[in-house]
Amino acid sequence: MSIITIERKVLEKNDEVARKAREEFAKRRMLAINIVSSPGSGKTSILERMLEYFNDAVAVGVIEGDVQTDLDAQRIAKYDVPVVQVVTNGMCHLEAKFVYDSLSAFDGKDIRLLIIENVGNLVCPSNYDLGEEFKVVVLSTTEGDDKPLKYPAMFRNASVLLINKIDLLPYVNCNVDSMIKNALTVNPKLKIFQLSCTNVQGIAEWCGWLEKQLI
Amino acid sequence: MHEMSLAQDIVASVREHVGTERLRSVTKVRIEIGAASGVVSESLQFAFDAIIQNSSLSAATMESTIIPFVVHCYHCGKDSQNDGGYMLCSECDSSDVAIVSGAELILKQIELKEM
Repeated sequence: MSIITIERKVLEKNDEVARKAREEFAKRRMLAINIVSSPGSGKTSILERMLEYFNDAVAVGVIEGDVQTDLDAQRIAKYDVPVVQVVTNGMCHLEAKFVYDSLSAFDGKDIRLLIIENVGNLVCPSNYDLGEEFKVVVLSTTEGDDKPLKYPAMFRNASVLLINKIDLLPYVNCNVDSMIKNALTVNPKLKIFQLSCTNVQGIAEWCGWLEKQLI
Repeated sequence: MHEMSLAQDIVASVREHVGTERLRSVTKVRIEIGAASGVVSESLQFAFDAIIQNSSLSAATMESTIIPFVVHCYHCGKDSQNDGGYMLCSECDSSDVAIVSGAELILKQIELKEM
């Protein structure tokens, strides 16, 4: 019997590509953020409100990850920003190579903010570094306030939490204070914003903060 | 179910390290799963078994060890285990902590029988 000792991260190849992507973002002076959440929490709606807020003031590029269809890219294309749709064909998360291979679509466009909308899934995308500056996790009030405790990896690996659909609070069984307390239990360093895409409450605060992070 | 992608990465790494001609002699693939990695050991096992079926690796079994989630606290200086996967010191409740172990998936060893 012989033993080969390897001691290597299984995701090392992904991490290598993520490092290359990160170098490329720095070279292009582009801030890349990776938006993650379960399906239906409102990632694309938040993105639309962000594009309305930044309008011509900040050059934004978008990478849309979905299991099937280019419906999201169609929604985003209306805002006249460069958008790449990545269809994963069943894969439950984006990997760094999808992002790195998409970057040529932004050549010569002087993009300052790259928004990557990950596949809707509160588990799998947490393991995959895409080269982003930080992850933004979206949790909506309709999902319940206990989710950070149930899906800690995603909240631990994110830097920002967007609590979405706060306009629905009177109608749903969600205590937003408990939600915040649970999120901070998992990750005390989370920066938290409360939003509504319907009445745009909180959008300016979130986008204003993000604008200050631009390189 | 990203365990299928992860299992494919594990199998690709094994092929890379062992070489095609020795694949049939692989008996064990040892991996370490961080308790807070978000990877489900049973799903990974299922995916690994499905991938190696009828391949030159079909004699191999995957052996996984769960590594507890441990954080180092900069406030009290101690390392402590946190079973919830939270960024909190279990000794003094400080949030000024860094992950020591238990968040990653590691390919540890490959065992081969002599041909």
